[in-house]
This record gives sequence, structure tokens and C-alpha cells, in this order.
Amino acid sequence: MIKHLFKLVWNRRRANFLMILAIFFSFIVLFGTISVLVNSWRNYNKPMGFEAERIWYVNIQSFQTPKDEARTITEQLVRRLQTLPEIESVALASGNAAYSGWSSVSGLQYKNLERGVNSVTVQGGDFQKTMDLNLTEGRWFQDGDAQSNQNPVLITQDVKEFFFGEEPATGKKLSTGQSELTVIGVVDHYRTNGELNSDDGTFFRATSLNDTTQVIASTLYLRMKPGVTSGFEEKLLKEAGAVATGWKFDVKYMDQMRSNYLKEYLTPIVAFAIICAFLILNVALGIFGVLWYNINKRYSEIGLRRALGATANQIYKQFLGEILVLATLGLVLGSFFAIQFVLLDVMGLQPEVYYYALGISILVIYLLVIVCAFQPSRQAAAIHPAIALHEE
Amino acid sequence: MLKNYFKIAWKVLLRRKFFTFISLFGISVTLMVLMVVTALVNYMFGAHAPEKNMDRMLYVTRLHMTGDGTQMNSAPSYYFLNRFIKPLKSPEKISIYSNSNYTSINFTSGRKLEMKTRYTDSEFWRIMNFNFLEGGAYGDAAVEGAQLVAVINEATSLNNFGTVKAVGKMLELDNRSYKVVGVVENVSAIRPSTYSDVWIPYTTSKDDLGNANYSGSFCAVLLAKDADDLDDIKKEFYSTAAKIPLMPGENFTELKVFADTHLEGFVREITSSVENEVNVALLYTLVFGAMFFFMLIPTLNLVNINISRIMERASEIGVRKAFGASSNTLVFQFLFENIFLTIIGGAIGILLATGALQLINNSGFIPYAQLELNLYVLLFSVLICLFFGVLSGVYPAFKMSKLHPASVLKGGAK
Repeated sequence: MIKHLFKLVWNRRRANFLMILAIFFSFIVLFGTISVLVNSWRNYNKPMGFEAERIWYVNIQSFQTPKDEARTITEQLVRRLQTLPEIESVALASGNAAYSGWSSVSGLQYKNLERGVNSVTVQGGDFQKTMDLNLTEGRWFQDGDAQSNQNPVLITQDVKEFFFGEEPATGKKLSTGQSELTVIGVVDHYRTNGELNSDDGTFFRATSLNDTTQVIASTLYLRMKPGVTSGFEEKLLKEAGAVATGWKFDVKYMDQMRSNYLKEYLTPIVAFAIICAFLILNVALGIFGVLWYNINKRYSEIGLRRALGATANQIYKQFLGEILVLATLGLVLGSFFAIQFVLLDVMGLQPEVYYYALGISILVIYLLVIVCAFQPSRQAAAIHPAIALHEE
Repeated sequence: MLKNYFKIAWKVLLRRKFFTFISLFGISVTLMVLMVVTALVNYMFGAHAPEKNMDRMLYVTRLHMTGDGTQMNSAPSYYFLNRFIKPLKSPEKISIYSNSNYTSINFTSGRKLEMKTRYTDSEFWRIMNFNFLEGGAYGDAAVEGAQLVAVINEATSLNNFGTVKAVGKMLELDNRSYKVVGVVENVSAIRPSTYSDVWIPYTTSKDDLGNANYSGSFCAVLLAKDADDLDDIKKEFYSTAAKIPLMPGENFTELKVFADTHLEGFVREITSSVENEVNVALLYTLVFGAMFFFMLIPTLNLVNINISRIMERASEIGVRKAFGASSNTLVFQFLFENIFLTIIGGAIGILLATGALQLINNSGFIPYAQLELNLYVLLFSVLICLFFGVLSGVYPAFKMSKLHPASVLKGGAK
């Protein structure tokens, strides 16, 4: 049966070649698009480690204020904001939060393992309470940690698993550049890129505002009490301006930063997916048209087969079989190129993503082809032998 | 004769409506996508106001410093540009202004307004051709005297003052009152060297512009007398750049700064190249390659459909041949029919593209975007249509002309 189908396809190789080519290119486009979608979806399903709601992200610009004075003012500022009734918790930290567009990556080493990890520096207030971080092991920073020569750090769960596997991480030493770090705790999750981006984990370190060798952190993270609206911003700026005269505070609401980020990230993907869907629809309509025409053209052949005793079901299967052989040829060719993509890692994604994408793309193409072939094949099966042969 | 071809083409289109629909659908949507992309590219890179003299402009926007395993990419500072780039001799005019990362805010009756703000010198207004709706730019005296004056765009004027005239009114920016001296047409956010809501004299900045840090948030534009001078300016620029002393107090061992045209700057941005010359040809190859690849699938599809359609007309072709029509005549006729079909598809595509561009403009995704189908875009679309029509028609037409009249007339194909 299969051999016979191949023969039928081979007999019309020229016309079929173009169909195979169309299927091949559609497959490649589909594969690329689905890889991106699968990758974003997988990232999206991983927890962020915090809720964007009720977090205000405030950027501080101190202009020409001398550094020593800026340290004192920043410290007063954090203390002042903590007393405001609308604010639940305040933290002073580096600005590389999710959706901010900032990133800061440091290479961490343990024995012969090495990995670039996002580095978050906390300097004042209570970062854990503000971002509502969940510890799975050890403890958060305490007073004195920032001055400690042990360089205490916390790492996220995925970083812990990468370096230490199942063993507890607390007390272990990591190194970055020349300095040695001591792990004091593990945070379950904290991603500093958006949820659609991939993330290699985070480590937290503490520095002190009084330490003149360290840069002053320029971002305030404020956790609002429930029910506080954006109307509070004007009051907040007045309060902050009273402590830090002439400074500028850029207030952003993290849930708004999140929706901007999603919009910016998704728009090109959606545009691309729509174009891809159109291309595929186009090809599907084409396949449908060509099959329909072919069946009309092979009217007498079908009539003859029916007269010689083939059942309607067999005719139906033959036509469906032919198009499936065509699709398979196109897909084999397509998969060959797609696997080159995977081996060369053109798009820089995780290997599983490619395999999922490959599976989904193959499935979509087969489905599409079957749907397109359904109506013309039924039409072929319905041909009455007497009429067909009479016309001949 | 052409009239006959028209008639035949029209009849053929009406005969198999489903096939016609498939063809038109494919053609029109393909052309729509290509037209939208062309309009976008034209809007991004074309010489429109305020950058009307774009072909005479070089932009200095990136500073690259490396040393001791670290590297830094940033915008240059005012100090850097003023000290090393401003003294260049060959450009006709040089302007130094800040990039668009600064946002000013004000609170009017409890409502928060955020405004992108650029600090500029007075030369900026002589190099860029903004369309002033009201008032005018601020001049040398205002910049030197650090006067609190501002030029704002139409949207900012509407947001702050409604429909009344804005010139002469006071605008609160970060708790300082600026006097509005001019209102300009909105500049879209995809023109990164001019886009802003508010433009104010750089001398009113709170930042310490005399600070000897090389990296900052400023850029410079160099205007040549005519486009041929760009090479000379680049030569002077790079020989000057090679002599710039390294930044004091830091461990950097290498410093690079670049003068690019608008397009080169874009290529540098996406490739992060640190060579003096970037490869613009590569961008062209990629863009045209992508367009071609995108057209390939609908074209293949159209070829498939065309072959089916043409074989259906085998007997007609047999008769024409038997009565002495040459293969060339038939190929020409079929190509004509196909181009006719493509042009109908193209016309529908233009309508669809107009709709899609409206949608993009109204969505507000690109602030102040006014994408439109102008003459260039339309001309390019007609070219694409012809290319598409010929590409998808040649193979089926050739195949058809090869048909043997005797065998066709005998009735091989139903």
C-alpha cells in the first residue's frame, strides 16, 4: 500500500515537487515561530518570586550633592518614608528589578562550576519584606552583615541547585573575581528579567550606606498598604522633597511597568505569529485548491478503480494517503534543516524548546493537510463509476 | 488585442471563483504586509522633518571604552563632546543635545503628567527643521543666559493648555517654571535623534555639565555642507578621535567614539559593532532576503494554483495553438493575465495596508506615529506587484506553452 502510494506520488513528481516545497517552507516558518512561543510560554510559567502589585519603584537622582552628604540624606529619606502611614515597607537597593530594563550580571564560581548570575545589592530598609521574598533555607541579612568580611550572600533556588545540587547551601563559599562569598540563605525565586525572558537566577548581597567605598544605591522599592492609589504620589514627592531638597524622584508603579513590558515584548511576537498564521492559511487554501483540481482531473481513473471493485472507503484512503506521503516528504526535508538549527543553536534557546517546537510543528502540518484533504477526498470517494466511465 | 486579453482574463477570473479567491487572498495579504513594512522602514529611515537634511548629517551617540576585562558602552557626556568634538573644522554646524532618556513630571490638579525632555543648544534648531505651529525656537542668548524657556510639542500643548495658544504660558517641569516659546508638530518615537515632548536649553540642566566624566547622556549631530563632504568629516572625526586622551582616573586602556549616518547608527545599535565603518550592505541583504523569503511561500502557492488553473484550460490552449498561435504569444497572454490578477490583488492590498497603518497609528504603540502610504511606498508596492506577478506566472506559462496541441485536443485532461 505505502509503496503504491509512493509510486503514485512519484508519477506526478513535478507537480508534487512544488507542493512539497510549499509544505517545507511553511514548516520552517512554523518551527521558528513556535520555538519563540514555546520559549516565552515556558518562561511565563516559572514563578517570579514576587507580586508586582502594590510595589512602587522610585529612581533617585541626586545631581551635584556631594557624596558624603548624599549618604546621610538617603539614610534620612529611608527612615522618613518608613514612618508614612500609606507605606508598608521600604527598601533601598540596586535598580535592576524586573521590567526596569537594567541588568547587572556577575560571574559566580564554585569548584569548577561557573555561571553568570544577576546581582542585586540591598543597602537599606527591608528588601525581603518589601518584595515579600520566600526563604527556603537559612536567613535574610541582619544588622552587621553589610560590614562583615565574610561577604554574606543569599542565592535563589535555581542557583543553589546549579552549584550544590541537593546539598544545603548555607555556609558554603562561592567566589566572584577575587572575593569570596558566604551563602547564608536561599530564596525560592526572584527574577530580575521579565517573565517572558529567560533568567539564570539571582544572588543578593548587602552593602552599607556608611561604607564610602561602595556606591550609593539609587532605587527605592516601596510596598504600599492595600488601597493606596496613585493619588498618593504627589504627597510622597513632597515628603521626599522635604528631606532631599533639589533631588528628583522618578516614581513608577511596578504593575504598570509590567504591563508596558508585556506589551513591548508581545507586540512583535503577535505580529509575527499573525503573519505566520496567514502564510500557513495561504498554503492550506492552496493545497485544498490543488487537490480539488487533481481529483477532478483524475475523474476517469477513479471511475475505473471503482468499476474494478474498489470501495469508496479505499478511494478515500488513497487520496488521503497520497497527501500524507507528500506532507511527510516535506516534513522530513524540513526536520533535517530544523535539526541543523538545533545543533547550531541559532536562536540560543534551551534544547527542549526546539524538541517541543519540532513536535508541535509536525503535528500542526499533518492536521492542516488532513483537514485540507478531507473534503476533496470525500468528493473523490463519492464518484459514481458508471457516470465517470460514461463520460470517458 | 490587449482589450481581448482583458476580456479573457476577466472571464477566467469569474469562472472559478474559489481559485480566484485563493489567489487574491494570498496576493493581497502578502502585499499588505510588504507595504506596511515598507511604510515603517520609510518612516524610520527616510529624510522627513525635522531631519530633512538627513543625508548631510552624522550622529555621535556612542562611546565605547575598554580595559582590564571590563568594557563600557554608553552615550558620551556634554563635557566630552564639547571638548573634543565641537572643535572639528569640516562640519558646517555642530549641535550637542541630550538623548531622550530624561522624563520631567508635573502635577496639575492632582493629575500626573510625564514628559520626555531633551536639553539642547541653540544650534540644534538651525540643524533640524522642526515645523513650528506657534512661536519659534530659543536662540543663543536664551541658552547662554540659562533662561527657563521651552519648546513643546503639540500633544504636550494639548495636555497642559487645551486648545488655547501655549506660547507665553508657563509650564511646570520638575518644580521649575518654564516659559513656552514655541510649539512644534509631534515627532514620532521611532526617530530616536529628535523625538521628545519638551526641548529646553541645556544650560538649565541640574547636572554638573563641567564634570570631566566622559560617559553621560548627550549626543552630537554634525551637519555637512553637502552629502559629498561626509567622507572628509569622517576622516577628520576619526583622526581626532584617535588623539583623544583616555578618561582620567579610570583603568580604561582604549577609547572609541563613532560618527554614523542615521542608517549606520541603526546597524551599529543592533550589531554592537565597534569598528569605525559598519556593514550597511549586510542590513540590505538581510532585509531583502527576509522579504524574498516571505514572498516565497505565497509565490509557490500561487504557482501551484496557476498550474492547476492553466491545465484546466488545456483544450483552449490546444485550439489556439492549432490555429497558429505561437508559444511566445501564449506565454505573454498568460503572464498578462497573471499580472492583471496581481494588480487587482495589489489594489486590495493597498486598501488593507491603509487600514493596518491606521490601526498602528491609533493603537498608540509607537508614540506619535503617523505612518502613511506616500509616493515612495506606493511606487515600491507597484514594483513588488509586478515582481510577484511575473515570478508566479513564468513557470506555469512556460509549462503551458510546452503543451502539445494534438495530445491536448485528443482530450487527455478533463
